[in-house]
Amino acid sequence: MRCYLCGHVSEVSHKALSSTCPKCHKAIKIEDLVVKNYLPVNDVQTCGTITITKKGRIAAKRIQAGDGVVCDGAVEGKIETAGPIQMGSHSSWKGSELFGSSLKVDEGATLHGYVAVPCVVAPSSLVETKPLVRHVDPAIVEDHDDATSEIDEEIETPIEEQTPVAEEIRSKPAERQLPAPKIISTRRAAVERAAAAGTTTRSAAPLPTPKPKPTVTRKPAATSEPKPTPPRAAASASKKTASASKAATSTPSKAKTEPVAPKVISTRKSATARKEEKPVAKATKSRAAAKKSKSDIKKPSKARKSSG
Amino acid sequence: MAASDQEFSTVIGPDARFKGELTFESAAKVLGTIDGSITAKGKVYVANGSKCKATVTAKEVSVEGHIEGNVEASDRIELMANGRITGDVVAAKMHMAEGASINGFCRIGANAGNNSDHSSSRASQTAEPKPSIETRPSPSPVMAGKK
Repeated sequence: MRCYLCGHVSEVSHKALSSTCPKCHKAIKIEDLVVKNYLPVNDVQTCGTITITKKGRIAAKRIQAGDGVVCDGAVEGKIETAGPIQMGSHSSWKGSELFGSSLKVDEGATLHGYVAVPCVVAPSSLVETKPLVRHVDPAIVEDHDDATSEIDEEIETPIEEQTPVAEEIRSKPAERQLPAPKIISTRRAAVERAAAAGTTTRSAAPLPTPKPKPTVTRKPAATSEPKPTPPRAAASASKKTASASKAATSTPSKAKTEPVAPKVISTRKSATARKEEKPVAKATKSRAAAKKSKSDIKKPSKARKSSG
Repeated sequence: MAASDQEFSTVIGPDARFKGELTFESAAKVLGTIDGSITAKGKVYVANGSKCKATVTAKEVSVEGHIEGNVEASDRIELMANGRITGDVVAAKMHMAEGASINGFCRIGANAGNNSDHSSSRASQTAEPKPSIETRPSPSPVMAGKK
């Protein structure tokens, strides 16, 4: 009997209906199942055979049977078995996968799903796991030790002593050297060959001489021609030029020496300075007015005192 | 079932090797090797020892050799004990002997041929996806009127 949970093979009596796996210590069913009516379950698992009668129907996620499946009714779900699968003439199966050692289908059966028979990769639960070494013979172990010691001796001796071919290789090092790889077909090489031979081929057509990259030279602003500008842009440009000419006439020495851009910055600076100055001036004015008013208020009182 | 040669109007011998598209008006018996596709209005019999790396479409397909490709039979598929199919199988009826081998998606039944989508097929999962068609929304009448 093979456990459908861990795949361990163990011996049980023929009369046993259920048992406990000696490896995974879980309860496993051994009895054969017969489905005669509708059976909606999650998993159907047994180490025996699952038989579905004509009126029987299974709707499950997974159907696992150790010894095989005999179906004459309807089955829905994934079928995994290490044994044979028989599908009768009135049977139908619909599921994701069907794995089995063999499949026999009678004419009239309905199948819908992926079928892998005989299954190349056995389902994980049905794979029999065997221990790597069951019984270790001491004689085998001694032989193994001898063999490993021999291998160690071989490794210690240099290869040159072991093989006479090494001396030959050492004596003729030049012959062993591989010739340098040649670049066989490039277009330039073809052209050169054609030129040497004095023939012209289509493939070896003269290559266009590589054009020198145009050097970027920036012309001075005065020499560059003005580009055609749209009317608005032209108008703004004319205004700017007019203002620049006015500035030039007012301060000819500055206009000659200073560029236009710093001017803009200076105007900004002046604007910010003005903004800062304005509130200070206002504050001083207000303070003066307050003092005046105080003095006006105080004066009559002094007068009264003097009068009193 | 022993297929007699008289039943088949075309017999491709065991030493023949075809590469391409084969179309038969009636039945054909394949003993050699075919790489491509086989289409027949009658029965196609792939004999023991022959290897077809092809898509087989016929009314009736009988396999005793090895088919590597999709098989579609409008009427019936018969798989002998030595028969092997590596690919999707679509047929109205199937008879499979014990010992035969299938590795692919099976759709066997009366309505198998009508439903042409292989949505759950593993082979179709590996196929390249169809290019999606992008549709731009048509301009609304209000927007069109404004413009």
